[in-house]
Amino acid sequence: MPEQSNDYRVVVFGAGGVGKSSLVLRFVKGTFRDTYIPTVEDTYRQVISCDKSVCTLQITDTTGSHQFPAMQRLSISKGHAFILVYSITSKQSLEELKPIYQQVLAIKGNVEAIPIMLVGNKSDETQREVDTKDGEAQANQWKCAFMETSAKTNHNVTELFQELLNLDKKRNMSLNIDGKRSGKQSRAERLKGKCSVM
Amino acid sequence: MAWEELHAEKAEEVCVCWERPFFFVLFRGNMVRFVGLSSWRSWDLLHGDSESPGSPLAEMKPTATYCQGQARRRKNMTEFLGETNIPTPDSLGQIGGSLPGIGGGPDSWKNRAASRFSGFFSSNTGAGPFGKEADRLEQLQSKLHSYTLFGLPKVPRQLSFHHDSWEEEEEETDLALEDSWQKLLDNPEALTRRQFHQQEAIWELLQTEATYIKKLRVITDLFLCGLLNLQESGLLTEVEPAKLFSNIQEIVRLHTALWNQVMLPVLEKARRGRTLLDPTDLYHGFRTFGSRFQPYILYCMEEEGLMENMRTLLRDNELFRTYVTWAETHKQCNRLKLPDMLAKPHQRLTKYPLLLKSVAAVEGFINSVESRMRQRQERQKLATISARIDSYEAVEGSSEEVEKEYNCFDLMAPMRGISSEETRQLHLEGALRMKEGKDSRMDVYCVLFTDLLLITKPVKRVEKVKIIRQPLLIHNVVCKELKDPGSFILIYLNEFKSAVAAYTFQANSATQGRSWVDAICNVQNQHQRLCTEEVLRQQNSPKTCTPGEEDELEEEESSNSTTSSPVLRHKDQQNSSQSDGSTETLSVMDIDEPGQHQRPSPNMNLKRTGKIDSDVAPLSERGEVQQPQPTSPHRVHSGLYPEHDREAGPEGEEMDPQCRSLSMDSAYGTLSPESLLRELQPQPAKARRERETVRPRTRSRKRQK
Repeated sequence: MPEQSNDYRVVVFGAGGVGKSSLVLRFVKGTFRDTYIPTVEDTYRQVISCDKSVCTLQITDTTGSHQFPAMQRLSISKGHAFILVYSITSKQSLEELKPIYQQVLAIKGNVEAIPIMLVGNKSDETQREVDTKDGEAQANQWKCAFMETSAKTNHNVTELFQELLNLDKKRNMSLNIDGKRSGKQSRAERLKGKCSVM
Repeated sequence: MAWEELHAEKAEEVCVCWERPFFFVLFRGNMVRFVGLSSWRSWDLLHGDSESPGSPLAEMKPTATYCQGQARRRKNMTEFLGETNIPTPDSLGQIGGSLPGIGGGPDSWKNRAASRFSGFFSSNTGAGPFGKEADRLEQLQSKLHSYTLFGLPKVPRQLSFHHDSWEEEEEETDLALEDSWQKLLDNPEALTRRQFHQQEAIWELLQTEATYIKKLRVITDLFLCGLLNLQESGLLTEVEPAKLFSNIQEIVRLHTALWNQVMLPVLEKARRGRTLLDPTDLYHGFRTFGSRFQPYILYCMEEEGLMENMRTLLRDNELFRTYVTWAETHKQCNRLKLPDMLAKPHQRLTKYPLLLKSVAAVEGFINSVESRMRQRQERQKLATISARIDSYEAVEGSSEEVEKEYNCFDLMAPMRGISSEETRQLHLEGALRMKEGKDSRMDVYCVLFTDLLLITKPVKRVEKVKIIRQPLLIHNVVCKELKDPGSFILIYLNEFKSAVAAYTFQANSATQGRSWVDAICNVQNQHQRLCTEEVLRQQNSPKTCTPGEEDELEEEESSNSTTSSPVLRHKDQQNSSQSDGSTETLSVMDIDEPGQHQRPSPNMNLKRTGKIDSDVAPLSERGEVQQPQPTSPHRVHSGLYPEHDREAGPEGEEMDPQCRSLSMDSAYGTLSPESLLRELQPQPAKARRERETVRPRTRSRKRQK
């Protein structure tokens, strides 16, 4: 099980096309692409505040893996927290989360201590197939949190990640790094500046 | 056409490369034009040397390659680490000079390494024996410091000689790409929207591949190489590289080969002719996906173990932690931790289907990795259960003759009459009260598996169970519910269908009794189906495959891949069929395979195991037969369409939103060679309009995106 205290790993799961990558990209880069969605990077990093110091929020986008549960398993065992995304325009996409949830349950044992957020994405769409209350009901059943988002309109995206961090009772985390900049952060930023992507 | 010639050449190239790896270098040396070196210099430690390709003899002499390669690498490593301090030619000469013989034992090697170190890095606090534990950390830090200043000093022999890698891919791989594919064209604005997306998709494949190779090389060239270097100096010798990195070198090698043999040629062709990137060339390259990507099976299987080992080391071994932390600070790591980087291969693997929609070989192969991993998980589960069985005591008053040889039961043994790919699974277990004949009831613990039922009794002191009745083959069991709530009877039949035993069971509650009866019934049905499948498979496999292919075919079948058979065939046929005109190749796959469509075996047409709840209902995980995915009939149909019909062809049907997984539909712009191909050749507007009306579903869904 993960234990590196300096890292907080969030794994994003969901069927294809529900907007996992869009959510992550919106959160990390603040952008949204309507037309061509690239098969994005696997891992993103963001500096956050944790227990009054700075740590790294690491987001793993599992795009492409939803058909391969045995490989998905590898991602689950690494994760501290999970975002399960479906699209409100597809009942099927909510259905496809069920085995994923079961897998998280099987690998992590007791899920109550593990932050999980069920996310209905594409809340800007009008052709809704999954009602908000259906999502809520599912979340109740899974004893996890629930939220509807839109990566397109940037609705609830930052909130989603902040809420997820709040769910972790073992540490006190926040997306905002207030006031003073610790040496570590500036180093991270310096690195970031240098890494103009290979 | 010019590209046809190139194509033929490429087929030859592949052929040559398979047979004699090092000729390939020379051949390619003439073919591939180098375009500026990447700013990320490849101080590639895996592969030998690109500076001496002139004579085949040089390639064959490890010593020569080794020394020259080292000089280059040393220089590049320094650049890599961002230092301007380049070693003088003298010091390079020293390295070369100190390595005349390869044959020395490990000890002499180590000593030489140590003494060389002390000569080089006089700032070292002494390169003597690292006896004291307290000194080791200091030693390590000073070594790391010197690496930072001067670069990793040499190629560890483990990398260069254990794998004969000096024979292959000797050249420095050129991973440099333009900022955008649009730079390849004179006026990209003139492209249609679809062409634009197509080029974007191909570009993404190339770009992410190059990035991925660079990331992999950070693992091998920094982490692995650094570790091996330290080990040469007697540090961190307790760490086993294979348990941290598995076969990552093979993965790097396969991707380098893929790049050089498949992707770079496409890129070069476009660069030379200022033309569009041609997806058909890529398509051919990816048809060999299954054989190229074999190393992934081992890697994915071992990944969990690697991570576990890594965590243990990071927690318990301060030296190792120091080393990894040092390596992770290099900017090439992009702030990622080593475990993150080691997870890349499986992440990358699962993305190919998105990048290469409808290159069937790809999905077939990944399914085979997936199914191998799943099988292993199932076997691990079974082994855990098997370990709980303490003894076999089904025969009363057994004599010594019985005792020794026959009082045993192997739960791990393959199931009879069922494909060996299947693993025995636990379906239900629990406490019941059993009554046999006139005896009084006794407490038993029953365990129901795919093909059998065990009646056991707990052995308290060891928390295990002993088997107290003969294992019941599930297909010889007759199960009937009795009037008393929660009770049922099992009648066990022998080969003559005569009863040989009867057991009455009483569950704690009516519901529990019910669930036992249901479970036994379900397992019986499923068992029956598995047996039928196996019989069919055995009937069919001799007809449809040649002896050489059989093993692989079985493997693919187990993953229920729709496409396994064409894939396998074309692996063998690639050399002959690839040089056909590119426009035909897409459907060649189907047309060549009349046998495939006649095959009645049901499991050949099924896939998408991932949709099925794997943990809650292990039964259904393998039960695709019950839930045939609608994809398959379409796929099979596609073979019936003659090549020239593909305008109205299968693509639209195949992509029926109900059938295809959402991700396939939504990954707009991913590579579907069949459709993309059309965009390459400008067509009359009329024809295009017709196509659109023929395949409205495809188009409209894409627009939604």
